[in-house]
This record gives sequence, structure tokens and C-alpha cells, in this order.
Amino acid sequence: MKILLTLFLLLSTLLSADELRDAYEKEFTFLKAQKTELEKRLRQEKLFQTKEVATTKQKVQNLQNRYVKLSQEEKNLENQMQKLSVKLDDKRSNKEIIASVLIQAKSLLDEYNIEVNDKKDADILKVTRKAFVDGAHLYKQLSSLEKENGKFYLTDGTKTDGTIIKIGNIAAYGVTDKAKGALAPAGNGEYKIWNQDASADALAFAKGTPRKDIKIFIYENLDKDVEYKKEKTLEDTIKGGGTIGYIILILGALGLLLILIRTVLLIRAGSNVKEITNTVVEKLRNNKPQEALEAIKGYKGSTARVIKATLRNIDKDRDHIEDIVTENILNESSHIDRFGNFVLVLAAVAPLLGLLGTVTGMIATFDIITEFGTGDPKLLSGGISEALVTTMLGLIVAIPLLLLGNLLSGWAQNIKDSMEQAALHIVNEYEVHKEK
Amino acid sequence: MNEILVYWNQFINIMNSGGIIMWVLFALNLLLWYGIGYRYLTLKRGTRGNVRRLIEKHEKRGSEKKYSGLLDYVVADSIQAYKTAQSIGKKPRAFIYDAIFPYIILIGKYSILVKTIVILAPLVGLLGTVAGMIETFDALQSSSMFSQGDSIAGGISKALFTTELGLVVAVPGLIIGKILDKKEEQFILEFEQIVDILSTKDEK
Repeated sequence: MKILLTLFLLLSTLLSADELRDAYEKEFTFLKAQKTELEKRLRQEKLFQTKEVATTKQKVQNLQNRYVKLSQEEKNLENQMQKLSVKLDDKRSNKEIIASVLIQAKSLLDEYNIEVNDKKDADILKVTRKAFVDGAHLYKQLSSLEKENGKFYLTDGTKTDGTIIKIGNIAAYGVTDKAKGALAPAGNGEYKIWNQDASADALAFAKGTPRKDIKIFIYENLDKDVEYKKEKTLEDTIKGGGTIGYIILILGALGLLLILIRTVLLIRAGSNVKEITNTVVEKLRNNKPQEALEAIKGYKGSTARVIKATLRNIDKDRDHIEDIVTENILNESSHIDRFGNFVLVLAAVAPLLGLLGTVTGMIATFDIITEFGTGDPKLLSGGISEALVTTMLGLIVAIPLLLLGNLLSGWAQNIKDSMEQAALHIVNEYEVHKEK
Repeated sequence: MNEILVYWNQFINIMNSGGIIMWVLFALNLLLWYGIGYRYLTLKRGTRGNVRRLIEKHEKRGSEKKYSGLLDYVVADSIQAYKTAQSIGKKPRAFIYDAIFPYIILIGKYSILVKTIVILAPLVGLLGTVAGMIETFDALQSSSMFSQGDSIAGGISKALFTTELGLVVAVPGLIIGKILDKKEEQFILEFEQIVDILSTKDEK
């Protein structure tokens, strides 16, 4: 089958070979012409394209340039916009400041009846300028010394005419024939003479020659009546201490009394040690112990008793005498040390009681705070100052008791020591002169 | 001269800013330093040698010995007492004690005063503080500036100055007082030693 097909093809080819060649030739020339034509067109097209690309590139370049320029412009505009909005903010806050200044000026200057126009259609610049000028004027007025005639109350409540010297609007002095002194607010813009003496300063201000150190009453305003300050007496202070304060004072009085008694006891016990010793020693030098005993019979007190006991037993064995002296001194020491420790206990207890009083006072103060709140510091400080009084009383009692109690203890110890020494000395003297 | 005047004025100012308590403290201070000075002078030992050698020296030289301190006097008196006791054939211990007794009293003099003031000064300072506080709170209550002496600032300065001075008085007194007490204790021990040495002399 395959061979048949090949043969057929071969035959057909041989048959049409000539015809085919002609056709091919024709076709070839045609195609050649077309090729040259096409090549020509291609060249033209290429030329055209290059031209076109160049122009387009140019165009793009131009457009890009324009874009850059425009974006630059946009940036500039944005900057400008930002600047403007900042300026706007500034202006707004300035406006607020000016408004608040005006409100302040109005509230301040209204007190002195100076008008500030705060209506919406007013010329703000003008109003502000006026307010400042008025303010400066007022400041000058208030910071100067001013004399005027007016009325004020005296301390007994009567109203009189007189000269009022105002020191700005924080203090004033009043001068009349009857009274001179610092003025304090009496409520509703009126004055009253303060009850502490400042007449010298009032006169000095009236003459216009203020002194270097002045007594002055400084007030915030004249609307509120100021109460006269009472002179705080010792009695008031002690009353502030309350029950515990009185207890401390009673303990203190008791302590002082005991110290007084103790002093008397010690004076009687120890004042004549030297005298007795000298008398006895003199008699003993002549070896007359019985006479010595006679000579000091008139003396009383602890030392005398101890030495009398020594003299009575002076012939005995040395150890025996020493035992007698020790026993006698022990016996007297209960007398000499009487109240000594009790006074020191009182001195230790008094400050503790004072502390107790302060704590209870503080509790009372804080009770007041829970009731009325912390709005008024005067309430609080008054309570604290009263609470501290007991501590002060405790210390006032403790300090002298401690000082005197300790000194008396030292004295008592001294007396005991000197008694012992006197007894020893007497025994020694006796022994020395007995041998001679 | 001018400078002294300036310092003097400063001193007066400070004292016055604390009120009367300051002057009380100042008086206590003077008393304290008087006591300390007295104790310092009486507690001077004089010699450095130990007690045994001191006694030997005194016995050798007798009355020619130069006295340079408290211990010398004690040793001299003790030897005197010892000789007296020997001459009458008694035990010397009681006689030596008799001779030493005045010195024991002497070295203890003002010690209680110093101790008491050291305890007292801070208490007085505290009293000033409390008084100042009361003044401050009173001034707060009435809140007038009428007089300068009775003001908030015045009260506070009173409160602070007095406590300060109280401590300034007490602290040196405490330290020096303790040192002197230690010295006194040392002396008492040495006295005991003297008594013991002299009373046991014969049995050597």
C-alpha cells in the first residue's frame, strides 16, 4: 500500500513539473517584489518609530518636570497652611487669655467700683488698655499712706470721729483725742481700735514718720469682724490642761512639799558633823571619852546619835564597835533616805502623765475634726495647743523635782559617808591616845 | 574688739530668740562645766607609775618626795596612818581607811551634779519645744500678726533653738562625764590597792 502511494506521488510529480516551475517563478518574482516593498516599509516604519519614541520621551520629560513643579508648589502651600493654622491657634489662645484677663480685671476692679466693659460688641483693645491703666492707678493708691477723716469704734464699743491712716488696704491706724492705736476690721467695712497698745506707732504714722519696728494689725478685708484677742493668763493656760493638768500640779506640789521636809530632815541630820567630831576629838586627845559623851549630849540628830553610840561602846573590841557603828548608820539611813525615792518616782511620773494628757487632748481634737471636718485650721490648732499644755506642765513639774531630788540624794549619801568616817576617825583617835 | 561685740550681739540674739528657757539652759551649762572642770582638776593622777612603785618611792624618800597629783597625797597620808597604827601596835587597815576617806569624798564631788544636768538638759530643751509649739498653735489659731513676740515663726524658732541647745549642753557633758566616772572608778580601785598593800606589809 505504501509502495503504491509513493509511486502515485512520483508519477504526479513528474507530470506537472514544468507547470510547477512556471508557477514558482511567477510566484518568486511576486514575492521578491513584495519583499522589497516590505523591507522598504519596514525601514520607513523604523525611522518613524524612532522619531515617535523621541518625541514621546520628550513629552514624558516635560510632564515629569511639570509634576515636580506642581508637587513643590503643593508643599509650599501646605507649609503656608500649617503656618496659618498655628497663627490661628495663637490668635485663639490670645483671645482666651485676653478674655480671662478681662474677667479677672472685672472681678478685681469691681470691688473698688471701677467699671470694666465686658459686653460682646465692646472694643476689647480699648477695654483692656483702660483696665490696665485703672489697675495701675489703684495699685498706686492702695500702696500709699492715706489720711482721711472717718468713724471707728473704741474698745468700749462707742463710735467716734477721728483720723484714719490707711496703709494701703492691709492695715490702718486710728487717732482721736481719746484713743490712738491700730485699727482692726469690725465688719461691714468699719474699723475698731485693737485692744493691744500701739499708740506710739499710730502717732508716728499720723506725723508721717513711721518707726523702724512697728506694731501692726494686718487684715485681709473689712467684711468680717475680728474678735479681740484675750490676753492668755496663767490660769487660762492651766485650765487648758484639764483634769490631768490639775493632777500633775497637785503631784508637783506634793513633791515640792516632800523635798522641803527632806531638806529639813537632812539639815538636822548632817549639819553638825564637823562640830561634833571636833569636840569629841579634842576631848579624846586628853583621853577623856566620858567627858566627850557629856559634851555632845546637847546635840540632836542622826550624826549625834551615831557618835554617841560609838562613844558609849568605845572600850569594846574593835570589830564590835564597827558592828555597832554600821547598825546605827543603817538605823539612821531609813530616816535620811525618807521620801528620797518617792520624789524621784514623782519626777518620773509627771512627764508620763503630761504625755497622757496630750494624747487624750489630741483624741478630743480629732473627735472635733470628725464632727466638723478639717475646714477650719483654727479649730484644730486651738485643740493641739491646749493638748500640749499638759506635757508642758509635766515637764515643769519633773525638772525641778528631778534636779532637787537627785541633789538631795547626793547630799544624803554624803551625810552617811561622813557619819561613817566620823565614827571611824573617833575610834582611831581614841586608840591612838589611849596608848600614849 | 568690734568683732567680739558682733559675736556678743549674735549670741544675745540667738539666746533671746529661744526665750527664757535658753537662759535656764545656759545657766545649767555653766554649772555643768564648773562641775566637770572641778572633777577634771581633782581627778588628775599626777604620776604614771603603778601603785606598788609609788609606795616604795614614798617610803624611801619620806617627806622629801615632790607631790605631783592626788595619788601622791593619798599614798603619803596612808603611809602616815600606817606608821601611826604600827606605833600603837594596832591593825593598820582602819587607820588607812580613815586617812583615805576625805579623798574618796573629794573624787566623788559634783559627780551627781554632772549626771543630773546631763539628764536634765534635754528635758529642759523639750520643755522649751513644747512651750514654742503652744505659742505656734496659739498664733495659728488667732492668726494675727499684731506682735512679733507671739507669732508662728517666733514659736517655731523657740521650739528648735531650745532643743538644739539642750542637746548641745547634754552630749559633751555625757561623754566627758563618762570619762571622768571611769577615772573615778580607777582611783577607787587604786585606793583599795594601797590599803591592801600597806595592811599586808608585815606578813611579807
